[in-house]
Amino acid sequence: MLLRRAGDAAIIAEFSEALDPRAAARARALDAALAAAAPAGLVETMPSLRSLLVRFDPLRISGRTLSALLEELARELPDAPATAPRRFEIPVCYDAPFALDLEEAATRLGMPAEEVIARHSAPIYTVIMVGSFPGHPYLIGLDPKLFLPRRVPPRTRLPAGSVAMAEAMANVYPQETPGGWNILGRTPRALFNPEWEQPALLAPGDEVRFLRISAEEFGA
Amino acid sequence: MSLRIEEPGLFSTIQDLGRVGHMRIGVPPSGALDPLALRAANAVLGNAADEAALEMCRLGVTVTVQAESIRFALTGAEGPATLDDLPIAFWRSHTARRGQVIALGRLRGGAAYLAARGGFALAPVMGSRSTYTRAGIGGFQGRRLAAGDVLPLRLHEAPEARERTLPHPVPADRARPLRVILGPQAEMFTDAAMRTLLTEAYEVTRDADRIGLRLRGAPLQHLGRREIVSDGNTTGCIQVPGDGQPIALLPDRQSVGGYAKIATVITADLHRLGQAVPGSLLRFEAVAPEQAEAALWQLERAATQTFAAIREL
Repeated sequence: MLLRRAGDAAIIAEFSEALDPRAAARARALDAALAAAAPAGLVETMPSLRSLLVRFDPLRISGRTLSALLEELARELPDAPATAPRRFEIPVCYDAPFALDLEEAATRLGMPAEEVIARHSAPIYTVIMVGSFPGHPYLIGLDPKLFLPRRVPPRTRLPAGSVAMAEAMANVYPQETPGGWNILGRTPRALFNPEWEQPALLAPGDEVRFLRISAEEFGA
Repeated sequence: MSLRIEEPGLFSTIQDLGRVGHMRIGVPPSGALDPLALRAANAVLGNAADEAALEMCRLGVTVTVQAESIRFALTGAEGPATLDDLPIAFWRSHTARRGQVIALGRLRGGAAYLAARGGFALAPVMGSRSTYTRAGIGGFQGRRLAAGDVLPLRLHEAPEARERTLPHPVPADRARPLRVILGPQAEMFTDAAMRTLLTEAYEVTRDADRIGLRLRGAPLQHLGRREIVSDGNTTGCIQVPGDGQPIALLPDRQSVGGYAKIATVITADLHRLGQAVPGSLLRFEAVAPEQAEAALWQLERAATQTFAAIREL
């Protein structure tokens, strides 16, 4: 673990320079350990692809004290989370009006569109980060046969609910946003609502499966 | 009991001290660009320190009072301000009656605040009344204010009381370079780039909003890789894309980003960063974390002393 100062009010505990599922799992474990330790002056934390961001109030805890605590907690991180991950099924319609890039992705990957769908909906994904915009999950576990670069240039507007992939990750766009990922389909399931008690459906560490639905089921 | 927006300014929103605790689900803190000025407005009005106010960026609003009376204060970047065409001062309370018009012009800085005694009657969203316009969260309908909007007030009448004034804005050396802590990815830049950042001036371009300030100046060269696998952003971090022109991030920034960050403005100077406008020249000075902590204690002491010296007129 490398501790990086991100200004006077944040520390980044970095577990890898590369995208690494084990590093993300360690970041989540440190997050849980820090939440249990609950030091005074802790403001908020954000586990992400390979690190944990820790924001704190420098008037209530010094960066040095917090760094020492993070070092201490990191020495005794459990290998597996204390509780089983939550599991979600996200319905996806892979039909034409929603599958903006399915045919093109299939061509570039050299496989039939049906195979892209089958491979995309087979794995159990893990949410490795929720970020960039509200409720937006980054998922690992994508079939390596589906790895494709982002689209250049990115689209300026993607419909909310777009289900996509780029490089080694899959995602779902909760709101209409710009984006460069390859769109395979769309989900009718809302992923974010500020009025919900938990505004984001998914949290880092959750498991996700995509469940193929028809256009009729999408509309129902 | 409301304020009716006649002229909305350039980018006016409701802001408090920010929405804390939701970065982990992709929601940035938002909140006042100049939290010190917002706190000053609330202090002089006797509000809670984190009461929400109307934040105006670069250009002020014109509003009509639609309540028996309101007590209000203006703080932050100053500019021409009138109550029914008579000039009024910043950093003190005023009382306006039904039908009176409060009007502000061009501001000599990034952000000014119009706060009302008792605050605005808006429900918090995810623990804050701050507006995050990109996702339509909080504030007034999740968006910037437009002409014709009616901003509800909590009080229908200003309580009988003498007007009050701050002795002065909270003292802070506003001419000094912005203090930064190097990193979190300082090692990704050449030694020359680090020297350049700490000696050259950077001009704020027109590409400046509540998300960040694109700066223009001597390019900052990366040593090798230009990007990182995304990790957390913080307000005040200075990220450098491949073209070497830095971007300083403000409270509506994304939660994560993939550009290397050369340095991060310290908490005690974020209120000054938030006041930058296109054309502002920014200079940076490196400090150690312990110096940043000392600077924050000093600023808080100055704020406490200033607010304790609020007096009746």
